[in-house]
Amino acid sequence: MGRIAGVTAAETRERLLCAAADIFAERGYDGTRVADIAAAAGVSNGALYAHFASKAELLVQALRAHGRRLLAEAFAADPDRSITDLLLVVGRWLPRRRDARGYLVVEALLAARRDEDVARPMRTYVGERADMLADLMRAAQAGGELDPALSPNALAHFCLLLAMGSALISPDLHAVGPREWAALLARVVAGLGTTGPQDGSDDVKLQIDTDRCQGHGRCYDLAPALFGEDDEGYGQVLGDGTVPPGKEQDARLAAANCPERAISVLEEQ
Amino acid sequence: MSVDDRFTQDFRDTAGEEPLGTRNDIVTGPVSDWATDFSHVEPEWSADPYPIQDELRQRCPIAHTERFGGGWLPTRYEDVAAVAYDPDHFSSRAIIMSNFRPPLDEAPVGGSPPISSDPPFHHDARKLLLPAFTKASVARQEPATRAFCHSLIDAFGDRPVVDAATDYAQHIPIRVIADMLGFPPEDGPRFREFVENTLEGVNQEPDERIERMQQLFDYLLQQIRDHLDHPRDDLTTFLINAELYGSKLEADHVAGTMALLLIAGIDTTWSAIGASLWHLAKTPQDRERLVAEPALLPTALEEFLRAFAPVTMARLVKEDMHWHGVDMKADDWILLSFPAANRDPAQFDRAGEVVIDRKVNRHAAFGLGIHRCVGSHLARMELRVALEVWLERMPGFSLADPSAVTWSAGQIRGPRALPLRIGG
Repeated sequence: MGRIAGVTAAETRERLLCAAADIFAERGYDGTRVADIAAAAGVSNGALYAHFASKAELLVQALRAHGRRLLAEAFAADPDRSITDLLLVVGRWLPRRRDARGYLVVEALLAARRDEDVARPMRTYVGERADMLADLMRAAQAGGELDPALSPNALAHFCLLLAMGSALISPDLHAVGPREWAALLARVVAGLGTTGPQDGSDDVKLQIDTDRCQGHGRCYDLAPALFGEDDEGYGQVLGDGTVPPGKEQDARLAAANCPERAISVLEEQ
Repeated sequence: MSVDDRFTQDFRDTAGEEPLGTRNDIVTGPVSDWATDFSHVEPEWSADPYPIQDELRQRCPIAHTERFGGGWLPTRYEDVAAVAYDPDHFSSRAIIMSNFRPPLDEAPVGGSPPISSDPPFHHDARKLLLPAFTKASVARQEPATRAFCHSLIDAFGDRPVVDAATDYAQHIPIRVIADMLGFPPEDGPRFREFVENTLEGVNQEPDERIERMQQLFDYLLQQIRDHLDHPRDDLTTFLINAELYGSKLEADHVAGTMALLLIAGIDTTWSAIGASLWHLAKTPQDRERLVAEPALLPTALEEFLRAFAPVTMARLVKEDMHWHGVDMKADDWILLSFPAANRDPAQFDRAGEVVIDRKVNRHAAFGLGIHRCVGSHLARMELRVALEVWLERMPGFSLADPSAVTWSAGQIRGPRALPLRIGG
């Protein structure tokens, strides 16, 4: 079996990364054979090695392509929000259940402990994440959102620990209530600011945990002014999730009727 | 007209050597103790499973049976949800608890993807179907569904007694799914046979059961070939052309998914419509309130789905394990009773009552987790339209003969005979 007719090299690469992400996430690094990934992607071993030099490279590339990218997604969803808001939105998501690929990073970190071939690209990967976070911190300091006296690198390290820790302490091992967690994060971020705790509005905000939502559609049935469905029937918060005055009851009704408990109603302070 | 060589051979030929799988002795007859010998196909269960489930939830929340080669029945919401959320330990390789377990290598695809599939394949097979079954997509079927419901009632003429199960509820999902798949509407009676064979014939001899399943697949192949010759804008043509991982679907996948859509779409919705009308026929205050307040119907409908959830699923335990206090063996069945979960007092206030204005109703009638019923939006639309039209045309009705009401056996439960007296 060689290259599949009509399939470009880029498609083959993407198919391999997709298969690798699923199989590594399911079986771990040691439990995965390169041949299984090739077979799942429908290509030969030879074709796989034409794209990726080693199993280690495949793992780290799969992580880059299909690992969780909450920050990038949250930024894309609303580029205009402040950096501290962005970090808070991401932080609130961390303790929630993720799909199998969301745990790929755990497999990669574990493999990096034992295998220098994995450790090398993982150092690069983690280093890039830390740099990106540190840049974000500097921007927040320049914008007066965070205290410039704090080390951007220490702040970035702190965020990385939360992110990686949340992959290790899954909700099955230990869970935290979304509101309690959101309240704690808000306090931490306020403490890192230049002006102490911020005085905010009393906005009510809605969030859907996309890892939990299964598209039952109760939210957009019950509160069509606040929720919509995407092309696959999954629920979406309309706008930036701020609940217009007078719609708070609808928001709570939708959250209370979600069979998957995927909706959070956040009372911001 | 291009030849699609996926469908040139009959499934009977390609099946070749019959899949091995595991068969066990068929055990029927009265249940001695529901905690140790349960069976969901015995008449006592189909007549009224709720007291049995309520009693088990108190006494032995995860019941066991040696029938069907061994299986478990969790009755608490918490346990049902835990199974539904854990595809790592509970496989969907088979979802009808019977006396035959398909071979292990059928996972993760299974015979009727995606309901029979496990991760990671499940996600991709399901994703193919989702766009066709969103609320917005199924809304396109609503005008035809409404017109069809009216035509069924027109056909009642001035008969004083009609059977709401066989003269009304049954025909609605059959017509809708036949339209969506692009099957001839006059084949409806055959679909009913296929459904009964699949869902109610679980204690047939395995060879007989396999033969009957093959009749279904013979029919599907005939429809696929007709669509190859005459492509049209429907789900069958869509599945024939659909691609996964860069290639067209395997023939078994196409036919398996068609079988799923046909079987799963019919009995379930038929049951939900029938059970709702049964409740309204025997509860005049609820019927009168809904006639007076049609805006309450969407809320009431959720309560009917909770209280009379038609669908129970099944799973197979993947490996021996100690789970929530019981010792499960690999390949034990789990009878995944969403109806039992929906009546757990730990989860719902007044769990045993039908409260048509229940505001908070986090029921599990369409399942929980990754296997949430793909057709739930379609089912809700059909149920709502069927009840709206019925209540508009015939606001007064009652049970003509309570003792003549019969219920289906097996994992899909709903009225199969429901004589109603019209008027009053």
